[in-house]
Amino acid sequence: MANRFRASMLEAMRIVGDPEVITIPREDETSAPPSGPAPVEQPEREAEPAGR
Amino acid sequence: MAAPLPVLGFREWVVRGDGAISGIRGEPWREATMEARCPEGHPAPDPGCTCGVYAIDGWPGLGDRRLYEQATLPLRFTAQALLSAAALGGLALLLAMDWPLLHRGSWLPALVIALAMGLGLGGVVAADLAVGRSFHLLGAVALSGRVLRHGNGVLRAEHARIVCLIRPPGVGRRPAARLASRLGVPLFHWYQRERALAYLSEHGDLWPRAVRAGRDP
Repeated sequence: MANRFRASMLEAMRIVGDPEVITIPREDETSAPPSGPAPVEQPEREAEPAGR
Repeated sequence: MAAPLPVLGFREWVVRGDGAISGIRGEPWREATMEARCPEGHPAPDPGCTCGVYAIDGWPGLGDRRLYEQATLPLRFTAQALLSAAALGGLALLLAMDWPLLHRGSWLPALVIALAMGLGLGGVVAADLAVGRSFHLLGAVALSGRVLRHGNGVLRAEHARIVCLIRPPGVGRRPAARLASRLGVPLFHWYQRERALAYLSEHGDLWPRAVRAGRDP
């Protein structure tokens, strides 16, 4: 049980693998609706898994 | 064409006093919106960094290992059940020991046993209450700007707005309602999942839908 607990704590909010990226118009900057859909971006460089 | 809706994410906050504190780095959320900033100075979130406002991409289940407090709930409930069973068992044992003594008129031994057992049981009950007091709240956030999704469903975003708070099991209604009122957002209870999701659908899209909306011509 203690091991499971420790594993849970270590896993919480850990980021795994290369992320997908999208850009949505920011809510605080969208007084006028944007003209098109949000672009889907590819990360420019590979993300390193950074566990916390 | 309609503007794409923000991405919906779910996260948790530790409740301290009347305020919400991020369970990750301990930053206070003084209002319903939060802006990501990276101490390294680059725009946040960056794929190669760990910065950004964190959330997960789906309704948090009991024991969801991606959230600190939520991950501990099953263990906490188990500990509570064991402590409650120990307290009830101790009470039954106390009665079983004291009853014959009282029948024989042995008041002093009965009193000594009752005091000793009462002390021990008081400790067990105190531990039970302490374990049961959870001070975290769940909530949904509308994520906008740059939003990243990692393989395990963890999201990192540039801008976040709390859309609603969700009271997990074991958390008092009153402090949850106080915080929701202070932030100006509605409060749902953990058993109102469908109702909350219906409300949230007006404020954002879950990740798969948000990506589809972004890719549509």
